[in-house]
Amino acid sequence: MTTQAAGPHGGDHGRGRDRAGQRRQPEVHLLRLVPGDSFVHRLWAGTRVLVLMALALATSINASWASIAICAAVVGGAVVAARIPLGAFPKLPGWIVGVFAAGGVVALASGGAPYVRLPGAALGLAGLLDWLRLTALAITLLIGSFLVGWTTPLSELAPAVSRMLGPLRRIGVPVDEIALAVGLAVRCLGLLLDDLQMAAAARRLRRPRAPLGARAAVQEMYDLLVLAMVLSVRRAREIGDAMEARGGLPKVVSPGRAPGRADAAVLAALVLSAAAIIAV
Amino acid sequence: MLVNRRGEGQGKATAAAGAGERSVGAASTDRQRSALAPGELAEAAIMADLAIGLQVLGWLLPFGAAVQAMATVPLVALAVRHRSRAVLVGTLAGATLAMLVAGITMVIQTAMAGALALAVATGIRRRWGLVRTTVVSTFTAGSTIAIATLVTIAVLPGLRKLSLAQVMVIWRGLYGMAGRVGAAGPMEPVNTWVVVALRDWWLSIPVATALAVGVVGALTWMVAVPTLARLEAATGGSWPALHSDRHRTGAIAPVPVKLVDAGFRYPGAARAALEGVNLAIEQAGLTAVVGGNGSGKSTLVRVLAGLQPTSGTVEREGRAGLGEPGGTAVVFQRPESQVIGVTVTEDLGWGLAPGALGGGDALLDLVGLGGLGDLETSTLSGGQLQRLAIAAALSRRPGLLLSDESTAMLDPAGRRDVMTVLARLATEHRVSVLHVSHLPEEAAVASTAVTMEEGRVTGVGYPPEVAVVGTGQLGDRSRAAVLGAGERLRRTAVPPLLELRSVGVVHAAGTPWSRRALADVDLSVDRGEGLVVLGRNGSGKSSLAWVLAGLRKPTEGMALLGGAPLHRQVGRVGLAFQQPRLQLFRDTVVSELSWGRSSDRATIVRSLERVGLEPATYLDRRVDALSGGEQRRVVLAGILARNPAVVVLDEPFAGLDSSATESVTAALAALRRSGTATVVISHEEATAADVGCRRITIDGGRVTRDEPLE
Repeated sequence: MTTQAAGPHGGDHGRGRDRAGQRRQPEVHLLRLVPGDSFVHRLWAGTRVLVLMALALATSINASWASIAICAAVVGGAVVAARIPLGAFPKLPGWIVGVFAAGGVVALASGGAPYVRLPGAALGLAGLLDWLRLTALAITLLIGSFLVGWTTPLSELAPAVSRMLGPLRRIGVPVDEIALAVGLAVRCLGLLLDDLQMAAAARRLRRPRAPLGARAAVQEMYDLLVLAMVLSVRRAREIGDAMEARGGLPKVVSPGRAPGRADAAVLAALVLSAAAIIAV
Repeated sequence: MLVNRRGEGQGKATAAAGAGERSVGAASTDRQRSALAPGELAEAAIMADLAIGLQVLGWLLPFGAAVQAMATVPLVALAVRHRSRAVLVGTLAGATLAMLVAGITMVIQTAMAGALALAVATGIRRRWGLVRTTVVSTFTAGSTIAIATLVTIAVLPGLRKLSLAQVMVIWRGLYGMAGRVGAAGPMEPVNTWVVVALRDWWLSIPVATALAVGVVGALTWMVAVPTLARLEAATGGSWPALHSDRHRTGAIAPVPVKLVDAGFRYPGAARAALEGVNLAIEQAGLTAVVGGNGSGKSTLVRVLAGLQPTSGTVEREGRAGLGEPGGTAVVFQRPESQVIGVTVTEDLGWGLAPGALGGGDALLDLVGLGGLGDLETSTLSGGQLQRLAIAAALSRRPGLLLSDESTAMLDPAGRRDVMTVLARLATEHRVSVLHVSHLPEEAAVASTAVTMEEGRVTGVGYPPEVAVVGTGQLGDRSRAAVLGAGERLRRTAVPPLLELRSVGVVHAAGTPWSRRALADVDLSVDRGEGLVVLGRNGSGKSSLAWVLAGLRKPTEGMALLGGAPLHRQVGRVGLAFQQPRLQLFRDTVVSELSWGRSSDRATIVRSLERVGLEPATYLDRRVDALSGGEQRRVVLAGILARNPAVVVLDEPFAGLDSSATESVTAALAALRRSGTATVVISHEEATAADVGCRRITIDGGRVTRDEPLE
């Protein structure tokens, strides 16, 4: 599933970048499997999700540099083990890098121990280090969730949800409906993104340069939202009919394959890493 | 504002069992607790997708916060149109997906959006104003989210310390910078407040969270109210939902079935969609139903699938048993909306109890998909998807298989494959098959052919006698006009208007998903020339269309219009997509045609006339009330009004009946006479010959043939 940031409004506001209408189009790949047969790929889908959640939870309890390092080592190790090529990593849009850099400058200005002695003044690094700590943690967890997407075949997601949430059936949570909706959402996300990309392209053709003024920009964004919702409602009706034609929703979603020994080993290692993250 | 009253007026009876039937205000507790209907579940999943799509977009765009605020709106629509159970299911499914897309942050955002959507939707349903909705949602959703946030940061010290430290660091940095430029004085009181707030985080964080939720809630309300009104206007009215007779008891016996004087009128519709139909369908055999757009074919299918006619009777020995073993199966028009599973095998077994699918491989073999069980359905072509849908239908061993224009979106090869499968089912497997089509030639393989016009059956008989009625060939007049125009305007002396020089396109270059779409394409188009590009699905013709329109800069080579790069001249080349609805942004034809440019009414009227739509009738129609063919012509009118140098049309004739085909063909001929070049991209060799004087064939991303047409 690919979408382009040049989407609905996609930088059409020009901002003096290129008056002729040319713009960078960073491509984003959502939920795309990086083919492979590493042990990360072979794990049960639920194991990967549990690892990610546990890492996020543990670093939320203790977010020291040492714990972030352990977390990064786990994620980095898994990325290497899964043989993810560098090309799979999304290219960050320039403005996000800019925001991080600006934040770093402001954080540096807040000073605090430790100090580095420069000719003429002492520069306090505490603020900058705090800022870097947050950035490092955010990037680590983001890569972790990308990794789950890169190594999980989409068809395994709904069964894994059904198995993981299974116990909640007893307290009346509609687990099977949720699992069905996950499967359907996975199936439809790509269709939706394709539609949106086409609609955005059509808009560019009709009006290559964005209208001036916030009001017109808001109006356009709103038109696109309405279009997306109209398309979504129609798609939902068609798929609803298709499901009705197959006898309605199934009562139970198959829980798919069960976790195996490798999963048990990974989860045991996870408990240790999480304990280490909290302890250091 | 008619946002939540699907039950009123038009939608009432139609909506009784399909999607969106619930007038939520009237939903009893009993219904609140009952399982979701297929349409509800589908809408929950798709609206969750939309919410996630908007959040991702928000991360990618510089003014993304506004887009992210809109991410709640689809969930509000879900909450207004359906029960809170649907919102719960949609939000949780969305949160699961969000985890894989962008991590924990987006999971939390999605969960908060769901909670806020419920609160705002309550305000909209009860017709509260902005202030009341905001205040109430601040206290309900806002306080819930605030408490959840407070608990989270209270039990997670790492998260709390890190977040508070960030706020402190950023504030101190700004304060220090202000001090250096001598502006610290006015910021002094703020500083005191920030320090207090960070010290007493247990109070400041929840209060700030609740207030932020209130602000987003107000924004959401302001966007959602008009959006819902437009959504309702666009999608309300008669939706011929499928009706299952699952709740009735009795044996299943879909055939033989006999319609006696049967008719159906959608609630509020001016005329009946189906009237006085007498038709009998026996055990086994292939019946073809042929008719133009709006002839009542689809309604006939729904009546056969179990919809009660509003007049006349349907005589069967049992019930239709939609989707049940031995009952009725339906395959619809849009391939990608038919297939529900993520992989071929999963789709085939969808809805069946685990292990109930016997002989899945044999079924795939039967429809020519043998050995493809592990493929993801998103990689299948349209023809493969339709054959998979047929296989899934067959997994229930139906007595009656209804094919509602299942071939309309397919290329000739895909269409032939599907028709072959349908014919084999009827003869070798003793299934009664009813195939609906607007293409008379498809009736040739049928044992019985039925023609329909304006809701009535106009002929029943053996195919050779009937197929003559309403054939889709072009009239002689327009054919002559087309060819004449082509001859006269084919010039070679002037430099080409549009030129591709060894163009190559690689999608997702540099990633593991890199895929070459075009290689080494050389192409030139002259003023007034008519070019036809022939290619199968996946041959690279869509990528070519994007390059020709300047929407995609070639990865290699050059694409030039009048000597300058095409991608710097977006808008000079018009492009009509296969799916016209994606190009229609406004509600009515007149507002659509005047959008994006300051055209006077005279221009709009003229461009409508040029595509064969009577301005008096069409100007004020809603675009969603038009048929697919009419929508496509409105798109074309919009392109003509811009006076483009070149017009590119992707499958302009797919799903059009013969009269619509004729007007589009004539409009293109007139366009070429005025000097505009036309490029028609098609997989349809027969129609394509009427719209150009030169034809190139593209296969595997390369031009394999370039030949003049006589």
